[in-house]
Amino acid sequence: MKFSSRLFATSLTAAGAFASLAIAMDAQAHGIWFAQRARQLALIYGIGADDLDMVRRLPLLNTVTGYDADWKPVPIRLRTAGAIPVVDSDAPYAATAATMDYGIWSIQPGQDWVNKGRDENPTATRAEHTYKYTVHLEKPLNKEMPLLEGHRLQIVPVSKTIPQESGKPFAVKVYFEGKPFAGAEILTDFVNDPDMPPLKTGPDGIATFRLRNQGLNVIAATIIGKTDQPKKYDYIEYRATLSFVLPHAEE
Amino acid sequence: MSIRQILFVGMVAAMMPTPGLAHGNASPSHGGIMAVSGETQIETVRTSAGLDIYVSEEGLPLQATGLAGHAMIKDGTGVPVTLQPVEGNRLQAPGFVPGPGQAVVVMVEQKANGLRSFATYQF
Repeated sequence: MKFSSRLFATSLTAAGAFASLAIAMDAQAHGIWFAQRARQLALIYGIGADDLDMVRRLPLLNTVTGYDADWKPVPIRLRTAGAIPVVDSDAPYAATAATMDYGIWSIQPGQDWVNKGRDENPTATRAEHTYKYTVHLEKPLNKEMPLLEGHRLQIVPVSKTIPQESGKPFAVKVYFEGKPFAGAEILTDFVNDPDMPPLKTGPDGIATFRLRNQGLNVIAATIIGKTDQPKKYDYIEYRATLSFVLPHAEE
Repeated sequence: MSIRQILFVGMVAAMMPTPGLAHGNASPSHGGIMAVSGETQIETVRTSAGLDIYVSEEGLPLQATGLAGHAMIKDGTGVPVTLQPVEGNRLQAPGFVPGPGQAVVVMVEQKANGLRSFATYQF
């Protein structure tokens, strides 16, 4: 699977004015993120310690892109290596990203989610359309992260330099459709503490917190948007993650 | 040296702090430039015939026949040169002779698992 890479530059002006719905976000709570597996960079689908079947879900990906330290495109592709997809590249990369349209899902009480809309599952208590986005920082960057094409929701570090020690304050700005978004729910440790009470971004789209792990950090942002097809689903869930590693001490 | 002395030396060695490098020895063995990518050590030597590349993992040489890869100028100019296995853990990028000041990227792939390691060198 190979995808084209293009950077998307946009000017950011007004604060986010997107109508969010007061829906408890316990539905399709999964996300995607990049993490090291057996020395290779893998794309993970899951939540918390659940590392689920990403290979089966590869067809749902819209884009997989790589970048150098200046955020210039570096062609990358995913290769299925047994149970996991890993990143392949002919050149070094400093960051990777992916977008996924996870489709329409609905649920009835006492049953599992099914890949059907309300039109096919009329007695469903909830029906949703979910999109998932991720950006991974593999190496130090020379420039601040731009907004990436296809990432309708994106977590952007406020500074290009990420603190290298856990416990240090870290600020991110959440953008939706190119504009800072107020009220996005932030999980500061999506892998190790997915049930934590979420933080919320301020009016400027910024949330500041202390980095949790001297290792893999996966930060998640979620917003709920209005449906654009009310006969099929009640709302749209957008979930973005940002992942990076703080190095361990020398052995 | 008595058995007691040998045991004492061994205990002292075991208690000494480990070197700063994470995995394996990063000192060049062939007069080249050493780079470490994860557990993989890639030593590159510039010769008049091209680049010689020695690959090891945690200090143990990897058989060149199990490796593939290429060498290229970092800024993307020129054509990547495919690495050829020579002997032992040595591969060669024939005819690839970077000029002074040029940055070079070497990619080594382990055929068995597809793992790709990148090393960047400044000549």
